[in-house]
Amino acid sequence: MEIFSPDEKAFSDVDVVGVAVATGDRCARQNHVAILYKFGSNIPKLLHLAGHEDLRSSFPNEKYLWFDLGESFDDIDRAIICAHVHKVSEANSGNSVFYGFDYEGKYLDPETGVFKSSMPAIGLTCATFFLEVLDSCGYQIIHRESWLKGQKADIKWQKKMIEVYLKGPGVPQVFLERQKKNVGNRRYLPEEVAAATQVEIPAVRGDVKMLAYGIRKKLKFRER
Amino acid sequence: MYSLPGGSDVYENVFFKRPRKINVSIVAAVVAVGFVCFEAPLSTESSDSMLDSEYYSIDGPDSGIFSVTNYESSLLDDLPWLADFYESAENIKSAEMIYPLIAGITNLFSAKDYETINKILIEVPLDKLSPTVMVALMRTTFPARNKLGNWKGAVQSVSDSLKSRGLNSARILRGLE
Repeated sequence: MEIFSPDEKAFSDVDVVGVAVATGDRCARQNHVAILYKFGSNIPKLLHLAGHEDLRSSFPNEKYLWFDLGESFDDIDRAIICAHVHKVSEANSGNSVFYGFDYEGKYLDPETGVFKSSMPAIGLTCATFFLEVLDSCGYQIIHRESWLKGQKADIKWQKKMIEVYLKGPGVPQVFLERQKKNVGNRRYLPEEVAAATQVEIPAVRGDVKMLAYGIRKKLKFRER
Repeated sequence: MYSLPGGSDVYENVFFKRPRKINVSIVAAVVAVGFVCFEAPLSTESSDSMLDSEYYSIDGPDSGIFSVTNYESSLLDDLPWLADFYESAENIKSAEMIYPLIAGITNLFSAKDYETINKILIEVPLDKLSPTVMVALMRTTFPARNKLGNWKGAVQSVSDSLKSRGLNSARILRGLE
């Protein structure tokens, strides 16, 4: 897997669709994953869940590193995934996807690409949103059950994220309650999900640990 | 009534498409016979276009006057966007080019029109489609496979078609079990 910064290789060199990763701290403990794609032009875009009610279709900036999908995806896969990414982007408005720790999947209606607003208080992370988009066109990139529930570090992080994203004004109580109950759910790290695109799919957690470490290392190096 | 990708609807007007050249008396006679559509032949040549589904001559095979279409199975007349798409689908490889198919199917899903999607699957002209288009169709319809009686048969046909083109169908269709 070759990971590029935009000064090493331009985002526009992505082979139709790829992965972009960024970090929010120097130790690369709080990371972010987005889908990098080119649809209809040579201008690359990102589709990603940046926070609560903050689904973005935006242009990548210098904070991101990126890489192409791995060898288990061929030209047919890339074209289909890219078209479905565009479909999801068109089907949802910026405030239509909520933040949270629901993890079992099928939260994007795979028939229409619309986030299921009818399901009360469902919320996703950037990583589960990434998984949902690929799942919606039949690409299950991880074996979800191979990630453990109730991990100490994950619980600590989930509690912190509730403080950051969900305790602000305007978040309905029912939503907050559901996400509090979700603390202890499986947590798929952004860099693990990103790494899963580089191996045979569906990947189990053990398949992606070293690759995820490699991504973190490169993000740390970039922040320094 | 079918929904189109642009959101507009096609009503019964497809059943009354006007003939270009036709004898008025013949029109009157046939209208009395039933709920059918007339189309005067545009030339004396017989058409083998995939768009001309289930045509037959009302005056016998040698009359050359006009033919009647059985619209019960004229999917492509009802979905002109699909007919347009199929016309150039042999060489389609890019995301932008397959998107009309995905958007069209998505609109049918939004309208809960599983019957039409089922018909698309059963009438899919595989020999006119690139592998990318075939796989896009199966992956786009995969989520509703349990509501689409023809899905399993269609994915088997796609698998056979990919194999006949020397492609690794098991790998290309992975995840669609």
